[in-house]
Amino acid sequence: MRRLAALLCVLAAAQPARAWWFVHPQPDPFRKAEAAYKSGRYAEVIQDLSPDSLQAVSPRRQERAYEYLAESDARAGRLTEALGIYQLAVKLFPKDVRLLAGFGELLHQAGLNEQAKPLFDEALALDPENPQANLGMAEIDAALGFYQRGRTHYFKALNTMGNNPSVWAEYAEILWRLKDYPTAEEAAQESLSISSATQTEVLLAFIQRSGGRLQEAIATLGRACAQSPERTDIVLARALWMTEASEWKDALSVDKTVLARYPENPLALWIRASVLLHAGLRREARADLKAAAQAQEESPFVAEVAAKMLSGLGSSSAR
Amino acid sequence: MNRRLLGAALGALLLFPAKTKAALDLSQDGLLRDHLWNEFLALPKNRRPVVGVALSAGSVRGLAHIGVLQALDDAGFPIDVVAGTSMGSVVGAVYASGLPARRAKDLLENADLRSIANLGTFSLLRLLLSDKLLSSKSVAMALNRYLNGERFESLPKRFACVSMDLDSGEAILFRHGNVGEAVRASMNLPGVFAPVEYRQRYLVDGGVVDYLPIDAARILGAQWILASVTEPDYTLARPKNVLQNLNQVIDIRSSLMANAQAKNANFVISPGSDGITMFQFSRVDEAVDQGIIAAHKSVDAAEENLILFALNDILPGLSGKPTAP
Repeated sequence: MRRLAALLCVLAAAQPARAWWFVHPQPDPFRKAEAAYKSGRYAEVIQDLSPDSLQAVSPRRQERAYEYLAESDARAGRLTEALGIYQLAVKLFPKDVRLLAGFGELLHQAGLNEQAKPLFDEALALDPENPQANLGMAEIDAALGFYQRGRTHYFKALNTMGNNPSVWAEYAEILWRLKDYPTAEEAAQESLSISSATQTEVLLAFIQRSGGRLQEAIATLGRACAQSPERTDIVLARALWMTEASEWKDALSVDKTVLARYPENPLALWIRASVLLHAGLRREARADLKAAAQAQEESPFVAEVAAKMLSGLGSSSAR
Repeated sequence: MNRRLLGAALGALLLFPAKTKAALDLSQDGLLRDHLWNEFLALPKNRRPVVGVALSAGSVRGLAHIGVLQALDDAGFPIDVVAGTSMGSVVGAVYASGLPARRAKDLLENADLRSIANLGTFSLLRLLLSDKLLSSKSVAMALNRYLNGERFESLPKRFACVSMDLDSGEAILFRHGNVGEAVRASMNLPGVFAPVEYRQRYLVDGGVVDYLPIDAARILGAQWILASVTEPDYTLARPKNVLQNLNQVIDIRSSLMANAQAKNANFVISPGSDGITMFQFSRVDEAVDQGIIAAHKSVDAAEENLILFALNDILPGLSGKPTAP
């Protein structure tokens, strides 16, 4: 009788599990999918977490299962599926911060900031320090012009993303736009100390120039040019800044390196024209301006400035 | 959200990534604009055009001007003169005094203008029928407190605001005397506030005759004018009663006037109203945000416009004289 009673107790205790296994006879696929997700084997995750398999995941792990599946779909380029999984998941688990932030991030990366913002807002209402939501909001704020708010969000994101050089660089940029040049420079240097990147060197140069240190900025651009010699945009920026420093000969010399490869580059032609004008060589300048003014499709503003200068030269040609 | 539609949009957008965050513009146009803007900002004040801002009327929508001015400040726009009508005069006065434009929000809270937000159709009708209009004295008091009783002549930036003579329909331009009283006259909404008595005239909101004070900015000496226009989108309204019909008529008139006047500005920024109505003080922050968003989107184009306007000042070499050996 005692044995029978013990057996009945064991059977009673196992009822929920039995019920679970009765309804979901397959093994829980979560562990396998989790391991695949963490190793970056997204196709496997998608296979392991089919709609039927998702039902077999234990209730305690459902949120993470949906998250891994949505993220795997997104990384595999299956955007409609990712979107659908996230939409369902946030409906089922509206208080799960990772799902809210992940869905927000998917929409944000696609440029759908209006739809992403409320999701980030909800995530931050539940967890004000959530790094993914803070970073997403910071980027949206920066894109829309809310620099003060963006600064706060970046600061919070950096509490846990302090090893991410891109986040430091974005933070530096927003500080630059807020005209906090010393802190912007610190943030840019922090980014460069983690990982050297040409774009961050260029940003540092802009910060230095805005802070009134033009010569240092030109030197920093020089370093960026050396790192990425194929980047004509950096070379042209350097040439322009040299004219700001009244280093006309050097500006021309730098500009010529672009014209040697791209003789019809509108901005390079404009820079040469402005150097020539400065030296009083109006006829030669006119030729370059005429060429630059043709580039309405490629660089409409450069073309418009060149055209206006041409017309100004034309009206003062008697002098 | 329609899943297929959004999925297709997602796909398309990932093929052509949208700008998801602020980024350095290193395009040829971006680099030249940055360089010439830098050169423009380095010009002494007496060697560049006088830059003016004209702020339209718009009640609560007009608070978007706060966002516009903030975005222009972020971009380093050197604003020399400010002209405003109605809510534009409140924001303009605060900005011209050297205070951050967002202080205009605090000022309105202190002036307790939120009481008119409680004017539902019935209470407004009752107000009109009893012929007892509200007083806008609190606005003048709040402004004088904020601005320490400033006079136009002592403001760091030149400022003017516009009201209307109720008897003659004449636009009255204020650019001398006490700023608080002038702004009060400019934003004195007819039918809600009692007219302001000033030198034997009865003055009301200037928005009726000069919704967007471009002319006022020119009188102050502005050579290049940026207009911030918060006109109502009357096409969205579906009036259901007498007062809403009246409101719609006012909105249409304001919109038509704004469109006509805006043609005389060098550059126009039009913050969205997003359905914000005249007295919806609960949506003040939204109005300000709309201003920031609109101005931020337009600031590159505004810079280009001003650069082209001032090109002869920025590039003296165009005058034909060589500037260096």
